[in-house]
Amino acid sequence: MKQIAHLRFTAGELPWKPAPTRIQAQEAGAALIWERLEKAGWSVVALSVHANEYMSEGEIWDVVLRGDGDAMAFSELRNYLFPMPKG
Amino acid sequence: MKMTPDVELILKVAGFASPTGERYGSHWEGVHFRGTAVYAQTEHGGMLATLEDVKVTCSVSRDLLVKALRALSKGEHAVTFKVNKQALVITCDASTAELPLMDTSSAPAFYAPDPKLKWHVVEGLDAIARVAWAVSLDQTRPHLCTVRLCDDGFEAVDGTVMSRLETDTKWATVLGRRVQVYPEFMTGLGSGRRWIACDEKHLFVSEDEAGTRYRVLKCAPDSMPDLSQLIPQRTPLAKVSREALLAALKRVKSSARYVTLRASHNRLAFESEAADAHTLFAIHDSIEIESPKNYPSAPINLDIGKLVAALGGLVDDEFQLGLDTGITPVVVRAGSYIAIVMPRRA
Repeated sequence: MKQIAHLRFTAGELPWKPAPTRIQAQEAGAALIWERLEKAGWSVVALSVHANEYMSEGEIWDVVLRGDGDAMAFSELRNYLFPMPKG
Repeated sequence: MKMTPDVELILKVAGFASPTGERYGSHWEGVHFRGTAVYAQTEHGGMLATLEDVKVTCSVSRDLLVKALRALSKGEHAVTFKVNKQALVITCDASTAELPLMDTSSAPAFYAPDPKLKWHVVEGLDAIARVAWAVSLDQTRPHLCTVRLCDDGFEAVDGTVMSRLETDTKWATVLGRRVQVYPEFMTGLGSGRRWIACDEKHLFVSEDEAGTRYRVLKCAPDSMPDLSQLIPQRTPLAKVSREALLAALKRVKSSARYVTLRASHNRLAFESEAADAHTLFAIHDSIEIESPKNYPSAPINLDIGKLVAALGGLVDDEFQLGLDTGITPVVVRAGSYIAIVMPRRA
């Protein structure tokens, strides 16, 4: 297991997915982040997201990955979650 | 009013200094004369110009200089500058202003571009103003206080709005990399040919080939996220007249900060409410639009100021307004310009 404590995201790093309530936005955001991590090849055990109702700003807490996850540095996780544009 | 080119130029340069009492150190509040050169700068950028008839060496407060020049340049004759031990003396006709000299021993020299730097001729740099409205004003998030020059054009974002303008110039190719700059230093640039160059930390913009009048903009780290993922792809678009929409928003704005948009077939209705201690104001208005059959009719609540700012980036009257559900980003699109405004929970 590898646990990553805290990752902050800001305007534009994730698609804006506003929801009727903040809780619903956070759930949608968590699902998106979960999907991105699994696409990158990690098996996710748990994660939680605190965000505003637009999902435009927030924090990711307690990402728990199955396996050792040692190969992934903190900065790498950031790159997978919030890919920078090429150019 | 008689204003010589030198006075106009000094006032323009003074606009790049920090106003007295702002967060910067006192040396950022000064306008610095060094022979025929005059410059002003803050930690984010500045401007240098070469004067024709004025040759003095001193530093004075921006606020005092601007006040003195605006008052004196109303005279009949040219304004003259002299420096004595204690003051910069500015004279016009029988009027004189004496501005105390600033201690600028700690002031950094103006950043000069490396002579080996490669300059490029470009046009359309002033269009950066069309997206600059969307930068964040939150100084704790400096990377969002900037406009990015990339190969697609210019783009800016804060937590609830985004703007992008595609340009013919591929800025990242021209400059060798994407560049993020604080857009307030691009204001008043004007249209036409400009010369630009970029080193690791600065973007230089010259108004003439000789470089006698140039501005330097400190580049922020390239940390802005990929904004294309914010643009909704399936939002239905209706043709709307900017003037008609602005006029309606102006009527609504007189009493309220937020407006609810509600579309019906070829019509867009506005509702707003505001109250003070005694009265409830309610305004209902509508304009004609050209909407597709699947155009949504759900109410969408928006900050009027942000929508008006997004419309400010348009050039032509007709544009496309994309509405979807009450919680989906609202799209303003015309040609190469696109803006997004997040709705507000009603």
